[in-house]
Amino acid sequence: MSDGQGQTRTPTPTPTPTPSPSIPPTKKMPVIVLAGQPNCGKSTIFNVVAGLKVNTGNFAGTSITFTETKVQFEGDTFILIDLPGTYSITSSDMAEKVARDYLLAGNVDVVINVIDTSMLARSLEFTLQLIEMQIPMVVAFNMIDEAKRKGISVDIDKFKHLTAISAIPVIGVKGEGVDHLFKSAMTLLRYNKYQPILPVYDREVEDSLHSIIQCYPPELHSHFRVNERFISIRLLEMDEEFIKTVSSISPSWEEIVSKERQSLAQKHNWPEEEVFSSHRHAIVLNLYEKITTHKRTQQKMDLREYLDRIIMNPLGGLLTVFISVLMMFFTAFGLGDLLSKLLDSPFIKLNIIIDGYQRGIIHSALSGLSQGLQAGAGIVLPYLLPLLLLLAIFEDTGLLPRIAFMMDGILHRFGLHGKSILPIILGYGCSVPAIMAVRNLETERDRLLSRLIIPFIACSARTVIILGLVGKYLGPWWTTIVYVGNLAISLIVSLLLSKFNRDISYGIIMDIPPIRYPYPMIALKKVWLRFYEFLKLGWPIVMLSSVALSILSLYGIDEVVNKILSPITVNNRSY
Amino acid sequence: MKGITVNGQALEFIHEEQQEEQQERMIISLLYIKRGVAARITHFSGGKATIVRLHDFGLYRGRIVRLIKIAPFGGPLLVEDIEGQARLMISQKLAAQVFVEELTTQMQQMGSEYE
Ligand SMILES: Nc1nc2c(ncn2[C@@H]2O[C@H](COP(=O)(O)OP(=O)(O)OP(=O)(O)O)[C@@H](O)[C@H]2O)c(=O)[nH]1
Ligand SMILES: [Mg+2]
Repeated sequence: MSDGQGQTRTPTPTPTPTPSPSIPPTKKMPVIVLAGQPNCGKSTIFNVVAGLKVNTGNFAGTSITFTETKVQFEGDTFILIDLPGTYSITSSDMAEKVARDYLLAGNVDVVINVIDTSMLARSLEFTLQLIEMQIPMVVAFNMIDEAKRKGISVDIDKFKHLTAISAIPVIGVKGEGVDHLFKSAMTLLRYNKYQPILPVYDREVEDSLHSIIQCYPPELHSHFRVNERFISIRLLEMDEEFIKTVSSISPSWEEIVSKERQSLAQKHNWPEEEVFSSHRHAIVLNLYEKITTHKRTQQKMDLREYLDRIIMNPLGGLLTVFISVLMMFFTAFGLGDLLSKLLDSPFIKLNIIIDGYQRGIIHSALSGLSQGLQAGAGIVLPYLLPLLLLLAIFEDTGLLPRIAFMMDGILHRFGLHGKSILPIILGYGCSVPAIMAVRNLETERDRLLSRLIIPFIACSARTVIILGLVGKYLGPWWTTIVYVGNLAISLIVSLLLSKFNRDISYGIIMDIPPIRYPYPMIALKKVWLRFYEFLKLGWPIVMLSSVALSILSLYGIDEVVNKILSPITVNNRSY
Repeated sequence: MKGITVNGQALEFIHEEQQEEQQERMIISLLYIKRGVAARITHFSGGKATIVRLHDFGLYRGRIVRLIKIAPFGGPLLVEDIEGQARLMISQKLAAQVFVEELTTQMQQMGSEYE
C-alpha cells in the first residue's frame, strides 16, 4: 500500500455534510453488509448477532443467497445482510454474482469485510478491491485462533495505520470480538468519516489510470453507482460484465481503455488478462509482508492432522465414507428406537383419555389428531433428529470437501465431479437447499445435471420413511442396501444424461479447508433450525391428513377408497 | 495465442510451448511435478476465465506451491499454496494449464543433463 500518495477521497456522497452524533432520522434504516471470501465465517458472525438464522458449514459456498435481518444494537436498529462468499469482484459463479451485484447496487452503508486470517494473503486481494470500491468499511480479522495454530500473527494496528481502515480481531465461533466489530461499524455509520488510503500502483499503471479517468464519459455517471477509478480499474482488469455494459454506452472510451491495457501488457511483457491483477497482487503481497509475522512452527502432528491423513488416503477415505453412512443409519436406528419407546407410555395415556369420549365426529377428530401427533413424535422425530445432528456435524468438520476430493475420480466416470457431490450430500438432508446449493457449481451443464439427479436422492423425510418401515421391519443392513441402491439409481441417471451433454468446463478448483472440531452449541442450533422447518411445515400436514382420514373413516368413506385401490394394495397385503 | 480453451488444439499448443521452454529452464505442467517438491508458478495457458479463477485461489505467477497428493482413479491434485497457507483441490484438466519450475530438485536435474 506504499505511501498513500494523497489518494484519499471522501466516500459516496452523503445527505448530511456535518457529522452528526446519531443516525439521521430522515434516512432509511442503515444497511450493514457482511462480505468476504467463501468460508471465512460471515454466516457465523451473522448468527452471533442475529440469533440463528442461516446455515454455516466448513466448505466454500454454504450460503448461496443473501439473508437479511433487522438487528438492534445499543439502541440503534440496522439491517444486517449476510452475503454469499466471493473470491473477487470479477465473479464467475452465480452465488458470487449475488454478492457482487448487491455491493454494486449502491444501497450499502457499511461493509464488514470478513477475513480468514489463517489465509491472509489471499483474503487481502478482495479487501483491496473493496477498498477501491470506497464503501465505508470495517475489517474483521476472523479465525484468529486458526491463524495462531498455523503460526501466523498479524499486526492489526499496522494494518490500520497503513490503510486508515478500522480492523478488529474476531473469533466468530466463540463470539469473541463481535461486539467490538459492530461497535466500530456503528461508529462509521454515525460519524461518516471514512477516508481510506487507496492502493497506489506502479507509475505506469497509475499513469494509465490517470489518462483513462481523464476522459471518463459523463454518461456513465448515471449508470454506475461506484466511483470512476473503480470502474476504470474493472475495465483495465478485463472484467467482462463491465466491458459489456460500457461498450454499449460509450464504445469509444472502452476502446481507449483497451489500448491502455494493451500497452501496459506490452511494457511488462505479460498477457493482457493478467497484467492488472498481477500489479494488485504485488501490492497485496507488500501489505501482507508488512503486517504479518510467520513463525515457521514445525507442523505439530495433532489429532486433526492425523484425521486428515486418514481421510485423504484412498483406503481410509472409502472407509470413512462407508462408516459415516453406516453411522448415520445405526445412530438414527438405535437412538430412534430408544426415543420412540420413551414416547410410548404418554401416548397410551392420551389414548385412554380420548377413548373416554363418546363415539362421533369429535372423538374421530381427536383420535385423528392424536394419531397425527404420534406419527410425528413416534416415527419422524426419533429418526429425524439424529440424522440432522450427524449432518450438522459433517458440515462443520470439513469432511464434505474431503469426500469430494476422494470421490472426484470415480464421479467423473458418471459425468459428475467432486464438487457436485456437495449438493448431493446436502440432498440427504433436504432436496430444497440441495437444489439451491447447485448454484454453486460453475457451468450450466453441471448445474443441470445435479438438479436432475438430486430428486432421486432420499432426503431426510424420505429417509424417515425408509428407516421407519424398512428399518423397523428388516433392520439396518437392509436400510443401507436400499440407500446405496438409491444412490446407484442416481448415478445411472447421471451417466445416461451426461452422454448427451459432455463436460466442457475448464476444470475444477476448490478449497479444502482445515479439519475443524464441531462446536456442540452451533451444531445443536443448526439441528433446531432445520427441525423447526419440519415443525412448521411437515408436521401440520401429517396432523391434518390424519384428522381428515379419521373423520372419513367414521363415515366409511375410507372403505370406498380402499376398494378402488385394492388391485394395487391387496397383493401386497397378502404377505 | 491468448484466450485458448481446452480442446485438442490447445493441448497441442501447451505441448509445443512446453518443449520450447524446457531447453532453458525446467518448466513443466503442475500435473507432472513430484510429490512434496516446492515449485514456482511461471505462467498459465488457457483463457481469461481460467486465469481469473486461478488468481481467485491465490495462484499467481511467482507463487510457490507443493503437490501433496493425487486422488485415486485419476482424480484431482491436492496442492498447497505454501505462502498463502491454503490447500486446494485442482482437477487434472486445470492443473495441465498451470506451469511451474521445480525449486529444490532443479539443480539435480540440470546436473543429470550434463552427465
Ligand atoms: N476456528 C474457527 N472456525 C471458525 C471461525 N469462524 C467460523 N468458523 C468456522 O468456519 C466455517 C465456515 O463458516 P461460515 O460462517 O459458514 O462461513 P461463510 O463465510 O458464511 O461461508 P460461505 O457462506 O460459504 O461463503 C464453519 O465451519 C465455522 O464453524 C473462527 O473464528 N475460528
Ligand atoms: Mg455463509
